[in-house]
Amino acid sequence: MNINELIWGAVGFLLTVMILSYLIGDNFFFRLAVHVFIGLTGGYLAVLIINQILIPQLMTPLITGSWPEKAWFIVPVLMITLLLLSQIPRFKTIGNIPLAYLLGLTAALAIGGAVFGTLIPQSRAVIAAFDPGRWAVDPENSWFSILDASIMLIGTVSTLSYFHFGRKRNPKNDQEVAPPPMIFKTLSKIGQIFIGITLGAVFAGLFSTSLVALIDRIVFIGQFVAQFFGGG
Amino acid sequence: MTKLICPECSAENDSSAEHCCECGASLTLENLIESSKGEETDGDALNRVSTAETDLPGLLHALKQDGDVTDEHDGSEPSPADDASLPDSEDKEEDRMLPDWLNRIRQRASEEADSAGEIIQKLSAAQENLAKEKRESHHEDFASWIQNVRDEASSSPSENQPIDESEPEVNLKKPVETPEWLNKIRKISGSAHDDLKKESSSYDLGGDSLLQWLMDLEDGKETPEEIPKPSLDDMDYEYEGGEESTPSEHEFDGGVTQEMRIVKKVVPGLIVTREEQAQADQLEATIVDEGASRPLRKPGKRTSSWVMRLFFALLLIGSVSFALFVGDPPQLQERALKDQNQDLLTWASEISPSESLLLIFDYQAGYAQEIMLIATPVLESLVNKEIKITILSSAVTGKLLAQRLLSALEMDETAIFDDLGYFPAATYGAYGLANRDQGTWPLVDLPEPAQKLQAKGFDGILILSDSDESARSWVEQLSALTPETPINLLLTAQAGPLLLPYWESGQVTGMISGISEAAAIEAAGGKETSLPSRWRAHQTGIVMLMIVMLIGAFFVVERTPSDEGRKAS
Amino acid sequence: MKKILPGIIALISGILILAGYFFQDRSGGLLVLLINWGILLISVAGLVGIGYLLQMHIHRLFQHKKGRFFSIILLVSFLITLILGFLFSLESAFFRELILNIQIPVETSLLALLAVILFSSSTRLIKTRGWTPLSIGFLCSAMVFLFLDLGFLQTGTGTLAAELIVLIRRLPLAGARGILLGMALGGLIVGLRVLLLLDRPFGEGK
Repeated sequence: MNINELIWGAVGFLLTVMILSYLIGDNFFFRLAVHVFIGLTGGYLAVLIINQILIPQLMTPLITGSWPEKAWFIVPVLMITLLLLSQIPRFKTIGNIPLAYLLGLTAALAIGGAVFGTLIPQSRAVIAAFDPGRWAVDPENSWFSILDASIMLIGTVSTLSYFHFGRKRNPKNDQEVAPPPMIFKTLSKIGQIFIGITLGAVFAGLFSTSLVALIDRIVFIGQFVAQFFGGG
Repeated sequence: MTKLICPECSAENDSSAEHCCECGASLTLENLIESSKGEETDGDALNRVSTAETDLPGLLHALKQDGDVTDEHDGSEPSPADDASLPDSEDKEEDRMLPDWLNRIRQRASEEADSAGEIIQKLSAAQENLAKEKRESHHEDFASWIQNVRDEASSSPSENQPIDESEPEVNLKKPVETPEWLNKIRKISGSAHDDLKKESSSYDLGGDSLLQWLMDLEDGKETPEEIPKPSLDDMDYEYEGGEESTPSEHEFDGGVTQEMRIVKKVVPGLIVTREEQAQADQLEATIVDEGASRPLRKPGKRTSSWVMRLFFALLLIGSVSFALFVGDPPQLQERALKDQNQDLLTWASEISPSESLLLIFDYQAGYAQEIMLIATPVLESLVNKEIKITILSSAVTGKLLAQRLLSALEMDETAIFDDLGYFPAATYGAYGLANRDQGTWPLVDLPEPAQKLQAKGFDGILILSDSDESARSWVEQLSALTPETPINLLLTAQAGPLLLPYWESGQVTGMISGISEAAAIEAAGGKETSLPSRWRAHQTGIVMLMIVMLIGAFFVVERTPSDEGRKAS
Repeated sequence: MKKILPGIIALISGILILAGYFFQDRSGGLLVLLINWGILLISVAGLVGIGYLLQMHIHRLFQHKKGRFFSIILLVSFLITLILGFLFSLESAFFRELILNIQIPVETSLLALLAVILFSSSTRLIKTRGWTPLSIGFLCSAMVFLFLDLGFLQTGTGTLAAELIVLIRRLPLAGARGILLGMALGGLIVGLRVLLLLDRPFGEGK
């Protein structure tokens, strides 16, 4: 173990122990580690934004570019100026213009992504499962394909029914204003089961991911201690 | 101080004004309406509040039932018939200024009990005219009113100054609470006069909302379903609860001053949209919830809580450590690969050296180990094919993690990497990349950075992600805009389940998620790594979790008080 | 005008971006330019956010409020990182090691904490919610998928058991698809409300 590895290993070891000390409750060391982490991440993000985005994509073209090229930057420079000026309370409202631009972009991307990236292809996938041509590929297991397609359809529709966007609720007590139709009630119950199944799978994945992290920390501590005391 | 009320827009003007300050209408004697405000004593104001608070709903209720108002309220309520008892001179002065229709109504009211419906209709007609003009401005007021309410909620009770003009929106929904509020204000010394004036108007507004509702009922309109309004009886009861004094004839004289003041102040209350009403209810519920008492945590409970957590932590860490460090690393057991894993491996094996690949690093530092275990076999098979690899990062530390991951791979010196840099938003980056051609309407002298974003077409895209949300952004945009480019995913176990539909629909060519699938791939012929010992520890941890979950589901004792409190809150 | 102008800007920018889904072959250059402006704005907004964070901690420091020691720690670590970041480049091995050797232990340890908390709270998963279709589905699904991922269960290819396992593995797909469609519908509605100026979040705070 060279000095470089020793130092970084010790830093990692200390930070790991400080964070895991949260197991006995919120304490000084946990907060210390978290604040170091936040400060470092903030600093790194600032460096990243300036070095990777603002300098190469804004400053350099503005300084070295031709005049026609510079003209393309009038709008972003103006909006950046407005955004910065809006931090002064007196000019707070002018920050709405750049925010509106971002909001328009984000809303359009959300619409486009939702429609062309999820709604159409996923709906098509549900329907395509009932294509008899698919069942004919493996005639012996066609019953299985039909069963599979039916379950997918019922699961998808019932899950959507559980959300039931049109349901009106009283915001005071979160009770439904009008009882939903019986078909929605039934589908909603089935949807609950499917959502439960999906969330169960997500939970299994979440625990698996966090367990890998725990194992990694245990391995790291074990290796560091072994190397430190074993002189490895 | 005498004020002139504009007949066109109901704005208040100085007595000396010749034209309305709002709409510019002429304030001639024939047109104007004189409003003698502020000449009342505090006691008068108090009485006025209580009158407005109790009389209007009661009156309307009585009117609605086509009954006699005086009968309904035991003589304590004023009625149009009471106007007859006004002093003659005052009566004549007002009669001269009254619109004809109101005179007719009065006349009818004195003659027949059934004139009530018409009174309401006429009043509402006048109100609606004004409402049309003020609707827009009132709508804007709502946001500021919300802000005011928040500010008031956060300030001390002594600082709570009533009352915004749109206050009645709350009053409409919670009339029962207003007496407390009213009492508080009455206790505030020195500010009673001004406050009570505002209260007066606010109660007028509340009454007018009821009026509007009655109008809707009369017109045969449906009551808004999603906003349950208090029933007529409830309203009656609630307002009666707040009754404090017997109204005098003067207070409800039915004269122009009083009625027109109602018209002016009442208008905003009429324009409560369903959405605004729902927002107000939600806000109110939030405020109530914030003010609700929280169950106190007993110190003993907290202690036992962390003791239990520590116990479980030691149990998990101990068992996992045992599996990690005791015994030799096991041999991974070969098992069937999932279809999505097989698809990704097939794609990786079929990619030819001349092709280009985009690697998107979209994971945080905490997931580096898991991604490394999953991605290493796939990436090593790719980088050694001498394909051109371009890197892009959409996570904060993605760039550094990419450097670390790629430098840990066993690869030839010939591997070529091009770095597109950091994209702060995955959706933006995906959209920009997908629209990489200038198109048939090119922009002249496009600046260099924008051209850089227009990367050349890729033969394949591989996304390394820890989150289903950001990975979904990439998949949605790229599959919508470049459906011909194969997209593959290397994911943490937590991101896998919610992204599986994209593989099933064909938008994603293949995917691997989690250490379990990585272990299966390694067992199927991958290179040996540090995975086996970790995989055994992982299996141990999973088994422990299953045992604990089963015990918890069937044997854990009743709900703890903290759970009850949480559920209640 | 103050309220109309942002709405118009949002509408125009949104429509142009939406047009990219239909006229991609014609307007690629313009779209990339618009996106590039957006990236620049997001970056500056990120810097503004960092500024707020620093302002809050500086305020806490000079107001002698509780926790000012941690504010000092945060500010010092921020400044050190910022200075080193400008002194060394992002490609520097030293800077990379500095960032990753702090970020990886902290983030991984936080995830490890999550594992322990999930483990200890899993005893109360059902008791908190009670026995409902959702909680039953959740428990059964979690148990089955945890077990299947262990890799202990082996079946021959083409057997009925293998087919059943495939079917079971595909069950979450139906719910996941429903959830994705639900989220997409939600995103679509929110996006449309913004573009049609029914919602104007940027108009608040005036």
